[in-house]
Amino acid sequence: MLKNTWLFPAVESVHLMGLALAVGTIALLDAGVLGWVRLPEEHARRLEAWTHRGLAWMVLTGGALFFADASRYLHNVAFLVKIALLAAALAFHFTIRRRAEQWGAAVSLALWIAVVVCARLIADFDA
Amino acid sequence: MTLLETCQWIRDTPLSMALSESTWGVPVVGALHVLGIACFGGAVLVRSLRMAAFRATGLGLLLSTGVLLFWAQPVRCYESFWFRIKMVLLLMVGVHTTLRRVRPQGRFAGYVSLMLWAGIIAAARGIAFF
Repeated sequence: MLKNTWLFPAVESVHLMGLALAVGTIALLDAGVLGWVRLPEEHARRLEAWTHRGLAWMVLTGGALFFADASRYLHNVAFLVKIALLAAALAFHFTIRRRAEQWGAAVSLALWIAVVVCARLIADFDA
Repeated sequence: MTLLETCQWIRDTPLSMALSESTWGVPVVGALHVLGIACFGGAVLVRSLRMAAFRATGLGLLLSTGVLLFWAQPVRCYESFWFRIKMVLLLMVGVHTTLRRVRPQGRFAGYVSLMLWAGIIAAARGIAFF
């Protein structure tokens, strides 16, 4: 994948679109629980479908990006922290956050923000 | 002043030099820019007036950090083919959104908007890689 100059940025673009969908809808739903925005019930259910689509895109493209240059990522601090945070965020997303309590939404938002920041920092942490 | 000279002038401003010379300036602004994508992404899907504040927050974060990223490397952006594509697409999405405000269109217009945003993301990756 690294040999083809177009492929890596193309897959990364899809990865970012997945991010916009998944984290975007999660943030919106969390903001709804926290009372920052008023979300009608039918919107909330449609948004959740987009969250899952976005997550699927991200996992698939993320796997491809990782295996294109696995040793680079395994030696990258930002990547390792990101994966740990991602595991926590996903586990939290499918368990505690389901209860839609305010503290759960706040933790969910904080976890996803941390995941996104670490993801972006991967490029700056290459030794 | 030509466009290139304008970019060179921006490069020589204290803010531009501080941003591009500091270790954390561009990474931190870049991280905030991606957070803006995440915040804005959900809001693009739902066209509801109740979401206006949320969407405005995401868009404001994207635009302000985007200007700062440009300000840090204006000449590089000037020379980037994909940066120009991205700016044209941004202009198109702006015009498209304004037209939709004036006279609401159907589903197709929604797909055009999504495609434009997808194109903007792809062009943005192009800036980093080519």
